[in-house]
Amino acid sequence: MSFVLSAQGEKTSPALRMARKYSAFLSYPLAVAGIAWLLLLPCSDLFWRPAYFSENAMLPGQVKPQFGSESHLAAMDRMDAALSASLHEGSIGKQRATAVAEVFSEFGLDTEVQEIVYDEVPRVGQHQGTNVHGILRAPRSDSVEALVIAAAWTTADNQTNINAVRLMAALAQYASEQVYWAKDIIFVVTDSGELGMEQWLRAYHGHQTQSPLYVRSGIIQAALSLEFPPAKTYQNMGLYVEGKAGQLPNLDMVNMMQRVSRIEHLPANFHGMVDETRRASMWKKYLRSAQLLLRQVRSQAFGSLVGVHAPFLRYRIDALTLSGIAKDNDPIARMAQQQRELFWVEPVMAPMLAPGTVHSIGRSCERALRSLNNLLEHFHQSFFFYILPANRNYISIGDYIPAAGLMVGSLLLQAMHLWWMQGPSELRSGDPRTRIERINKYYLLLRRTIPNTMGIILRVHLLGLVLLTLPMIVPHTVLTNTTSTAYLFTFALASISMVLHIADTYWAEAARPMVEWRQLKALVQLYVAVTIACLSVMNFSLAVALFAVAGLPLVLTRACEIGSRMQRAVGILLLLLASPVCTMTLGRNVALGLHPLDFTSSPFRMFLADFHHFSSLVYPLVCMIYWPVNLLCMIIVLMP
Amino acid sequence: MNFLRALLHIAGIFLTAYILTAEVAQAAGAHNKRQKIAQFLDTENHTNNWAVLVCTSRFWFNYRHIANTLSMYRTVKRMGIPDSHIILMLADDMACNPRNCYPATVFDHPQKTTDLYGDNVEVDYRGYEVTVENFIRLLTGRVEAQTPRNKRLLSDDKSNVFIYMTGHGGEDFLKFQDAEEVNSYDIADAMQQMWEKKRYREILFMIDTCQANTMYSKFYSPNVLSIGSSDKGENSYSYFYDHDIGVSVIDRFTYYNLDFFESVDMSSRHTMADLIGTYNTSLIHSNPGVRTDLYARELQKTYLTDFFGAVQEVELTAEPFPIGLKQATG
Repeated sequence: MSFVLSAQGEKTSPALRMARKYSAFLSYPLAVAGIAWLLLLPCSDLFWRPAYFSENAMLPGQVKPQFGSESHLAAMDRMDAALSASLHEGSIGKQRATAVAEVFSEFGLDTEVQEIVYDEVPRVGQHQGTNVHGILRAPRSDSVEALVIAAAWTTADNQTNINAVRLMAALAQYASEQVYWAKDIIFVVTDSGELGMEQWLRAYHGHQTQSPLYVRSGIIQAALSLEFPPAKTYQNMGLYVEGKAGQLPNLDMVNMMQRVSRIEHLPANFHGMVDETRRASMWKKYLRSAQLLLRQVRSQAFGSLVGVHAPFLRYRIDALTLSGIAKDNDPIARMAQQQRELFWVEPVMAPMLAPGTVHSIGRSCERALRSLNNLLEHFHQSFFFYILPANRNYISIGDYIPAAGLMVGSLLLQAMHLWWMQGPSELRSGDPRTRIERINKYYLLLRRTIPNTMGIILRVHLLGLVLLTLPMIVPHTVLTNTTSTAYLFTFALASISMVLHIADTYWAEAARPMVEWRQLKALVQLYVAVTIACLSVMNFSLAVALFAVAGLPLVLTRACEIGSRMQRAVGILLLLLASPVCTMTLGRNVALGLHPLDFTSSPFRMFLADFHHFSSLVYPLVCMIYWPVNLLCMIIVLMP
Repeated sequence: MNFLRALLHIAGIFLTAYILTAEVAQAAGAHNKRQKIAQFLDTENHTNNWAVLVCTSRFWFNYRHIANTLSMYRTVKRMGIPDSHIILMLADDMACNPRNCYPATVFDHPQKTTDLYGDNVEVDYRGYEVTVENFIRLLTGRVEAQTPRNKRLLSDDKSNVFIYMTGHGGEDFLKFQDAEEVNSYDIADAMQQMWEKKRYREILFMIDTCQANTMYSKFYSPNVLSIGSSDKGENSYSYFYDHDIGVSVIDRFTYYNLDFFESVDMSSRHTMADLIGTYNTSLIHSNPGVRTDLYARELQKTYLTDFFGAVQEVELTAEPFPIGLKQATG
């Protein structure tokens, strides 16, 4: 203990002495090491582990599938007929839902139509939607548990999800003919995407009284969401697992879904990305994996538009989205499809066996349902925290958390250095005889400035709090008429002016300074380090993003001595580039080699909506941590 | 007159002689009969058979353990042990499991020729009643007062008891229902209690789990013959997989035992040595073990029906034998 803890004057412990000697320099290598660790994650030999099944009960893909008979396909035609009748009348919403409900009841399901009303952001925009669900009761079991098959009416790229609804009809017909279900199966169709699903889940769990659900089953154990835009066959299947706040389903469920789809020769790939072939070069494989990881980071950190499965994860229901990709422009996917076509020489002769057809996908879903049916308990054997660098590999939390640890370490080390350092360099050099005197004077200075420092921190955070709560308080007429961009820029201006005001106030007394910037920086670093550390376990991607935009600038602020005004101006400019307004604007428009973020409105509005509906943490973090830290960095730069 | 008197005398002598001889003969005969009865009852052989068949696994994917136990149950019943002398412990219900696509059946072969659960199954301990405590109480006879007759092992000192256990196990332990374990020392002590309370004459202990041979390594009571399916550090493997039901339906070791029993019936003179001789490590994929050091008789002289059947010692007589309590013990 004494090696670490004792800090009495000259008799400090060896560890502390060492830390003090080197801490001036160590924080930068640590931050670099943290980033380097992240950059090493896509390397296949280092951290990747092969995926395996932990849950013995699942027995994935071990049963002969029975999906595909006449009655199942006839069910699809029935759904088509019912929908075309309702679509002809040019209606959406309720009539479409009622048509679906009628078809479900023909299969013997208990159905209900739910009409929901929701707002986009608090008290802005009244939207209406309709959910419809049908419950297939297990013939020989009590309705204690349930499985959900969900679909939205529109896919992620705004096409009608008609094939998913037809597939659901076929699956409902198939499921109603079987006797071996141990759980109820609930088929849900929503026309409001993730928001509609969230309203349905709230009503199902009894949290909502405006549009309650009366036809219910037991606890939902797992959910599968289907997304199949109109097409005859699919060339690729995508698997999306992230939730709204970075939650992930159990890895067993993900592996099971991959196994059952691989049996049908159309593997489900994470985010629809096919792995590079084995003969490709290391660099190509690295890039592919890095691309997949970046997509995951984006989905997990921001949690926007991740899929209809996402609301389930908040209720601790393991869920994922299976989506069919009809035409993939990705060259690797096209190569894989060509391989498949070579293998299936006579698809016409055996249409039921060809991969990518409705029979094949229906069989995959059937196998998935039977595996889920075999379960007795919630998924609990495998991992809940993982990263997926490739389709059959995972990275365990023990292998990626050290990156966050290193980043947090760099912040903490620098905070420690700034706090303990005996003031600016003039203080340490100079006449050794007066050194103690100078240190004491500096100590008194620090004691005097600490209330001011805390005052600054509090003031800036109060600003952040105002930003956080403003959309909730301001009357909605004002909000609807204000675009969020204008809102943001107004706020940006207000905050910049506040920064300058604070800087002015405290700069005036250069001879007798009111604030010591090292103290300020140390305190801010401490709590940013704690935030990132706590966040890294819950939502690793968000922690990394937060470090990149808030932590890293904090580490680098005033890393070198500031001499001239020019340097201060450059610092402010760089910090402006790192500010939320700038990053969100850039992130919205810049493609970054991924699918461009399909924000229907600004990122800010989207984060606000997610916070309002799903308690997603991005918006509070931006308002209360990111933005204040950015402003504080600017203040630190401007301090004497 | 004299002639008649002489004749009467002679007749009288003959009659007396005859009656006396008859008496002696009868007395001798009674003595012989008593000897015969005593001989019959003091037989060295067993007089009754019991079977304790235990499946310790729960959950749908352990279907094969239930199928193992039920196959043994059918075999033992076919060979003559009645339900009243069989204790069947099944930890889970596969026949009525909602996941069973052939409800109310249990099969041990993908061809589904025999429904093991069909007619006439008497399960004595079912579901959560299959616990370590109940198993040890059953063996040692320390059951609670209100335990019904079919849940008691009413064996005596002339019973041959066949104990069959299957499930998931490891080194020196057997898992009961995913919640508890019984270890080999406990079973060894239970058997010693049985010996002290004269609750068995001979025991055949057969076990089909992973590392099964460790389970009998700690026995120390006399007259126990043990057979295990795999050695320490080895797994026992399942055999047939049924793609309709979606589970494995039988284990290798049990399957090859049953395969042998196809050729055995009540009248067979096959011995334990024959059975053990058919064990083939390359087919079973593990090393089955036999422990004979506690067993007095030779395996070539131990008939299969001594344990698996209920072959009674029957002696046909043409004459009546008085068997009262006094004479029987005389």
